[in-house]
Parts: sequence; structure tokens; C-alpha cells
Amino acid sequence: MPAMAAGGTGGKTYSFKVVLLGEGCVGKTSLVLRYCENKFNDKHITTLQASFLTKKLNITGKRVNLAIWDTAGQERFHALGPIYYRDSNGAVLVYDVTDEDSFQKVKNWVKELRKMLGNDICLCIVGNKIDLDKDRHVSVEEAESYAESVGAKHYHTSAKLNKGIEELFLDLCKRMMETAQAEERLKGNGASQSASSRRGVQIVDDEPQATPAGGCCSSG
Amino acid sequence: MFTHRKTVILPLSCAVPLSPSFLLSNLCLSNAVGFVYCCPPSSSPFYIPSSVKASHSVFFQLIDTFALEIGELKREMVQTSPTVDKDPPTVAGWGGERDSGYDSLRRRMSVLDRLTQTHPVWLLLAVTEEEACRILLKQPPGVFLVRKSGALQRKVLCVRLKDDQSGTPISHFPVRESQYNQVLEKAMHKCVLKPLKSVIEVALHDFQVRDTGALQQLRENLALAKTKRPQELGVDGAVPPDPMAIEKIRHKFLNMRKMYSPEKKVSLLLRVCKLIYTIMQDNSGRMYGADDFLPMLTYVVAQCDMPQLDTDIQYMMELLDPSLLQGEGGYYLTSAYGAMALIRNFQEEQAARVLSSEARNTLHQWHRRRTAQRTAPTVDDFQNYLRVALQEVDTGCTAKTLIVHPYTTTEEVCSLCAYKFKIPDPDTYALFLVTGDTRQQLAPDTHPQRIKAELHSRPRAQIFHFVFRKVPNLNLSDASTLHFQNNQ
Repeated sequence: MPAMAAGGTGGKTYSFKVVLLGEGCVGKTSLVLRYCENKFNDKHITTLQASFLTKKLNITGKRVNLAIWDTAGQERFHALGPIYYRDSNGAVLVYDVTDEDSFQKVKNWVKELRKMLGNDICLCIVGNKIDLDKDRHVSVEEAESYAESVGAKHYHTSAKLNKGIEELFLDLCKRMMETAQAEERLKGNGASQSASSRRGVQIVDDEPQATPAGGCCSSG
Repeated sequence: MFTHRKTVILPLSCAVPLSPSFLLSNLCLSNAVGFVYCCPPSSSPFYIPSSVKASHSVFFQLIDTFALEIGELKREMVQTSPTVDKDPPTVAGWGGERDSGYDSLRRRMSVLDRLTQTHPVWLLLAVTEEEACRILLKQPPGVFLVRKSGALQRKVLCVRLKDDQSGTPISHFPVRESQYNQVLEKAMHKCVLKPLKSVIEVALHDFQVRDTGALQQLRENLALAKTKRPQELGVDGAVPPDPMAIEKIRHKFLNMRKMYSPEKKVSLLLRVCKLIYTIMQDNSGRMYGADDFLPMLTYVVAQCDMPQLDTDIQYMMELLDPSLLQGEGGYYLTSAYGAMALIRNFQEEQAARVLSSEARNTLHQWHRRRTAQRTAPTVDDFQNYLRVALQEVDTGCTAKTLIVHPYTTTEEVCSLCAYKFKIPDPDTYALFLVTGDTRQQLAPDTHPQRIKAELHSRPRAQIFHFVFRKVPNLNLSDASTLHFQNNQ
């Protein structure tokens, strides 16, 4: 069950959580299904379902575990956003290039994410369905300049033609790794401390000189 | 768990009210480091409801149960390892080399006791590899020590082996300490959570009953949501479970309730989700993402009509190991929480904003409890408690913590304050919200808890206080007194 049992020991393993946001029908599900295609883990309860997916990558010798959290895009579920995007390292904000409204919706998410999570989260704005380019309603220039203005990267994808998706996630992973590394550097030498906040039951050894008198086992 | 004389943090303090979320957060074993009593800051005058005093004795009962459980566990462990106890194969020859008292001691003590009591002897974290070899070479085969390797950043078990083996007779085994120690967590759950489960349930139930507003709202809205068709809850196209499947799911939820282990509960929740997916997929052959799944889950939860599911979800969210919260279990737990939140706030007239700020507030508190460094939480952190200061011209400030439900109005809070602070002329007093250097009088029909929730949900946390004080000058025109309005 533990899809993200963060290795921690041995070589460096990064575990990232990525939240998938965007209006219903923009193709979030197809996008992520494409990306994780044929990579389903049989141990998952939800094999073949697309709400929660994981992917393992190896980027420049570093292992990366990606957990992708899909969200419901309908307006009535908007208020639940925070419970899904809390603790995310990255967000993929998807709109449909043929649907101007879905792009507006992305802008709302960007505002909210920046407000709630600050600059710690790597944002990707994704114009999906470029196979329908002839019906495009969101101009490339507008989308790209908007993305730049909010510190996000912009991508064009087609889940149908499997275009641009691999690049999008690879790029996102690299950026999340950079962010994580910068954070580690900030923490300085306390490298061994980095994982402690996420630990399960902590084992704290008594110092050798500590006397066991009155220990928990004194009364059989 | 006991071999290293490990201890568990249970920062229970008698002066902090026993709200379920408080109880749960403090029973979280995941950050256990030592047995610590956290005393409330002595300077704050706490209001201690009688139920809390009762909880004090409950606490000691718990400790007794805990001790008993440990005793039983130890007995079990001793009984299941009789062969090791009688003739430890790798520790052969110890008896002869040691003082005469050792043998009789060995017979009386279990392996566990011996390890516990002797660890100052073998746990030599400071010795180097060379020193370890030097010490062990003089010892008979089977003797071991544990040192720490700076290069590996790990503990290393060094064992003296028989001489006839090739190479050095000392072997070194680095000890891998996993981040998520399932065995340990399981043992902790068994010996701490299991005996506490009924106590937690009683506390959660009492809390639900006492907090009539919330329980009532949940009941009413569950009943209302149950009457809705799947489409009205956002289901679009996918086929919902039929009454038989709903009954099956209800049954699973009831089983889930019986479990004490948060992980086992979550695995049952995952089975429910799996069943929902299977039904959706069997009828269409396509795969579904959150756009379809969340509405369906909401529909299922509404159909099950189980208000107690809410406390079960809380139980899991508080007690599941944080590393598992990021995984699949965490995702579906989040979805269940979301579905429940939607139903709780189902009534159409309630604007999405209410949910947003309240859900955010709750989540914010929950998140802080589960991820922040564990310090004793302040009473203010908990819902249904409101800290109000009495400001008097001559005596300065005194603060009290009052039970204030989300639906309690400012008017009601004022009369509570008058009673608690023993104010002879309450009509000249009012409740004010003080932030920075502004002071706003609250209108009688506002809800202080909602205002608090709203303030908590603001991106930049502001320091604020609720102050009960004399209305400055009644002759002044109303214009000088701002009325803070609930903007919901």
C-alpha cells in the first residue's frame, strides 16, 4: 500500500507530490493516463484507475517517485482544492486550447496556489488538445506570456496524439529536484535532519552512559 | 520496541480540554520520542470544565491499561521464544566467561529483559571499528556490540564469530533503520491504541452529542443528500452502485469502524473505493479520474447515511503515519474527507465560501498538528473553544477559555462572559475583536467562531484577540464603532 514509502536510505530518492488541476473535460485524466500508461502497479488497489497514479523515474542517476493527485474540476468541488494541493511539490494546471473559460479557470488556480503555497510549488500551465488547433481559442502568445508573468512554465500537449506529455513531466521533475536541492542547501549541513520531520516512529537511543534504572521494564 | 528502552510521547495535560481532535492529535504515535508530560504555561488562567477533571482520571486509567498491555506483550514474547531463552546458539559460552551471578540471572530474565538492562554494556556508539575489533577479539564467539559508523551514518552490529572462519572473526552488520518502521508502528498500535480505542470512541461520541449544532447539521444534511439523485451530486454519466452494492459498502464501513489500526481502516476504505470504481467501470469499460470519482464517492457516502463515518475519517486522518498520507491511502482518505465536507455543508443556501474558509481552517489546524514540530498545542487551536480576555480599566486583562460552538452568537458569548467573569452590569459590556491597533465591536447576531475561522483562513495570519470590555462611550455616535460583519 505505501506507494510513497520514501526510501531515504541508500541512494538519494526524491518523493514528489503533484496535483492536477483544471476544469472538467479539459483532459486531465487522459493526460495523466497517457503518461503513466502501461506503468500501473498491480499492487495498487485502484489498478487502471486514474485518480491517483504513481510513476518512478530515474533522472541523472537520481531516483524520483512521483505521486499524481487528480482533482475534480467541476465548480462545485472548487472549495475542496486546498485539501488536495496541500504539501504538493508541483501543480499541473490544464486547460483546453479550444476553451477560453478553461484558461480563465487556470488563472484562478494560479492565484490561489501562489496565495496559499507561495513560491515553493512548481507550476506548469498546460494547453491540452493541440490536435484541435484549428479551433484554438486561447492564443499561444497570451498563454505563454501569462505563464511567464506568474513564474510558471507553459506546455502544449495532446493526450490524443501523446505529444508533449513526457517532456512536461520530465521538466517538472527536474524543476522540483532543483527546488528540493536548494532547500537542502538552505538547511546547510544538517542533512541528516532533513528526513526527520517525516519520520514514522522515531527511535531515539539512550546515550550509552544513561542508566537503565527505573526503565519501562522494571515492573514485569 | 522495548529492546532499546524506547518511549512514547503522550503529551497529555490535565488542563487542556479534551476535545476529540486534541485527544487524537496527542495519541498520534508517529512522532513518538519520549514520555513527556506537557504542562500548560502556568501564566495562562485556564478554564477547566468538570469533564476535563474527569479526563484526568481517565488519563491515569489509560496509563494503567498501557502498563498492563506492555506486561502482557512481554509475557507473550517470552513465551514465544523459549528455545532462544534456554540455549541461545550464538551466545554460547557466555556463562563460563562471566561472573557466577550471571547464570542465575539468565534463568530469571527473558532475552528482552536482558537486552534492556544490559544495553549500557553493548551499546557502544562511540567506539571505532578498530576498537570494536580489539574488544571483541578478546571475547568468546557470540559476543556482540553495537557501534555507530560515521561514514555510513548508521549503527553497526559487530559480532565475534568462531575463529575457524576465513578472515577476521569479527563481522560487521550495518543496521538499516527504515523510515517507516511497520513492525514498530504495529506494535505501538497494539499496545497503545488498542486499549485506547473505546475511550477515544466514547470521547468522540460525547463530543458529537455535546456539539449539537454540528451533529444536527451533519444528520440533516446527510438525510437531505440521501434524497438526491446521483446527477444532483455531480455524477455525470457513470453508473452508480445499486442498493445491494450500497448495502455491501455500508457493511464494509461498519467493519472499518471496528478496527483500531488506522492502516487497517484505510485499507478497508481503499476496498470501498475499489468497489465503486469496479461498478463504474463494469458499466462503461472506461477508466475514471477524479472528475467522476469524487461525485460518485459523495453519492455513496450520502446513500450510506452514517454520521459516525465522519469521526472514523477524523480518526484515520489524525493517526495514520504521515509517510502514508502522501500515498494512495492518503489520497482516498482526502477524497472521503472532501465528500463528507461537501455533505456537511450541503444545504443549498450555504455559499461555497463558508465551506472554503471552514474546510481550510480545519485543514490548516490539522496540517499544522500533523507536520509541525510537536509542541504543546494551545487551547486556541481547537474548534469550539474561544479565548476571551476581560479588559478592565483598573485590573488589566484576564483571559478565559470558553466553549463556543460555531453557531453561538456574539450575544450568547456576551452573556457567557458576563457569567464567567462575574460582571455585575453586563449591559454596558460588549465583545470586541482586536487586531493590531484596530478594535471592532461585534454585532450581537454575528458568530465569533466563524469570524475566527475566517481570520484563520486568511493567507497572512494576523494576531487577533476577542476582548470583553466596557463599551467605551455610549454617547458617541455609532459611526465610531465598526461592526464586524460575517461576510458569509
